[in-house]
Amino acid sequence: MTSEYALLKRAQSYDEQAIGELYDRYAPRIYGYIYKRIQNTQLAEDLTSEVFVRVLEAIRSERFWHTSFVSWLYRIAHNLLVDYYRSRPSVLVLPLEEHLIAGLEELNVPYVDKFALENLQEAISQLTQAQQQVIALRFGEQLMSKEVAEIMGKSIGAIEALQFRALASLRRILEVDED
Amino acid sequence: MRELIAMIKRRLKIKAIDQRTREIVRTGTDRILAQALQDLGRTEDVEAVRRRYPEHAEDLQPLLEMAQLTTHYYAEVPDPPGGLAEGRARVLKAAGEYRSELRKRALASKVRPAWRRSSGLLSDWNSPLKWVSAVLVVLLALMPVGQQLVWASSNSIPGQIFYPVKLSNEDRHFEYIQNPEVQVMLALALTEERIGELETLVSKDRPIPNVVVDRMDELTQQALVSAAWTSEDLTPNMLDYIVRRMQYQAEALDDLMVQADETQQATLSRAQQICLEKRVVAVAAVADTRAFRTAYRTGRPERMPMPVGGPLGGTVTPVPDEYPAPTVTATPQPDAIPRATEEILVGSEPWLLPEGLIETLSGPVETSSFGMSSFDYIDWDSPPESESEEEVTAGQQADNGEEVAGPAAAQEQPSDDANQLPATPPGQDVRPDTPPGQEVRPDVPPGQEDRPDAPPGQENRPDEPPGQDKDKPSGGGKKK
Repeated sequence: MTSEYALLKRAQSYDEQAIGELYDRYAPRIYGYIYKRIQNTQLAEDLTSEVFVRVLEAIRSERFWHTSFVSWLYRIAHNLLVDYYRSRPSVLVLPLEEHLIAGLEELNVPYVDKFALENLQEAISQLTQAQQQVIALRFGEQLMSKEVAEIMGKSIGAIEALQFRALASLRRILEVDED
Repeated sequence: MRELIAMIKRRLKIKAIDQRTREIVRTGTDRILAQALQDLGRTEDVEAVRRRYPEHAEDLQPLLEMAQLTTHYYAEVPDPPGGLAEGRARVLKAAGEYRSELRKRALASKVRPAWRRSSGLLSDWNSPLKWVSAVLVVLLALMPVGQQLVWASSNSIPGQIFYPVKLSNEDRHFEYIQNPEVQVMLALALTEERIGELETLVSKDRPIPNVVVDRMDELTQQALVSAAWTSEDLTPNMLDYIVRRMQYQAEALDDLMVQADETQQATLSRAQQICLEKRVVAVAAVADTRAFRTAYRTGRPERMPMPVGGPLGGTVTPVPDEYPAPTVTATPQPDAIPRATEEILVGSEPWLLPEGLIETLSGPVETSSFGMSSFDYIDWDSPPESESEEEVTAGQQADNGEEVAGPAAAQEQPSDDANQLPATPPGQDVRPDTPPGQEVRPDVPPGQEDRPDAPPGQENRPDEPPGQDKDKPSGGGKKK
């Protein structure tokens, strides 16, 4: 497999093969991240390609990534999602996907049930964008705090605090709803 | 009342949780949570992790459970409906467009000509180029100087040192060729040569000097004037040929404008307009060939030499100096037609084309539409062209100061629409698949027209990732 550095150098000159290989490497991850944020497969697929189109435009303006390429991709994806949410004044909370419901029986955790997941989906939508991003990157993408800090451009301490507040907020929202 | 109480309880509970959260953050419990989450990621056992932090167990347990629930919520991701293939194709297509634009920029940035960049090869005497250079030097030494110039200039393009030599060679061709039909063919062939030069300039991304377009104007005008001097039965066919060539060249220029930049497009548009104007004139001339012949024969543009005796014969008497100066301009004025005299008529001697002339003509010369090769021997033993009685009468009346009734063809000019090619607005040619609304700024993502250079999220801090605070160092990402 071609090293990422060599791929990126070729991608800067819009080498088709390099662009294609970068897309094949990272598009599934970006798609997964976007899907976790909006829970819509078609829209996630469209926004995934839009992320890479923006990458091409940014390369053209000679403002390349500053740290790691994948962090840059996540950042672009997040900004795209922000633009998406801004264009829609009310956030549509979709019904829980069937695959999550089907997997519940296999999970031997007493507090996890369909209603909990449905409530969680709605609860996540009530978090701030930064909190949603943190929990999606930490628990969705399984990234370390250090990597999340790089993507979000914050310190590790800020990420940890943000993470704590996000979980606490979720807990608060769900507990209040139970009442 | 009950609802009010319930609401107050909820608010108090939220306040208690928030207060506790603030206390936890103040005491650094968020860092402990982060560590605990890492442990949870390895063991996936909330109880075991809780036991490792007994003093914070009460606060950590609900958060760890929430983290585990969230992880499960995010675990399953359905496959994309299109398999990401459509997006991949879209991205590769965009990359191809950017790549071609990058190449255009690279060509434009090259200042030194190729022969200077490759000078290193000439300095290497072991290279094959050494022998090629030696052969060329010998050949050049054996050739006459004039022929060397002709040879060197034949492929030159506008802006190069030998281009004026090329143009003067073309003028010399017209001096040698007396046959008006051949002149028409030559003029149109040379306009094709100008089109070729324009294509070369556009492909090399060089500016287009005005001399090229001016030359096209002269050549197309020459073609019309020469067509007026062909025999009466050949004139309609020559005009029809001019119409078709002008249309073809206008379309070729239209295609060329797609590849050109804005500066080049302006010049190409002017060249196209010239072709279309001449086409209009030729179309009108087809409608009234007689008026066209008379007007253009007596118009005599400055550069157009009268068909005088060539090097091989002809007894045509040149037009006397006392002949009244023509009042017609490039566009023939049917109402101001001076009387044509015998002095203008072509002589009766047969015209032979000089040997080797065909090879010296630049560009291809097509066979005329009526099946006659342009270089066939033309027998001028047939009676010379004579004016119709109407023309003679009109000329006599003009000499007598009488009003002359204009020619019957109050020429119905075809509408402009019939002769206009579909206009392509500038800037919308390169990205035909650009979505509506993005034609003007194809390189700017939607919503970011004011910050074309900023990656998304970096509109305010183009040099910093979004959210980056200068006072707080970043977490330190991996540098690649």
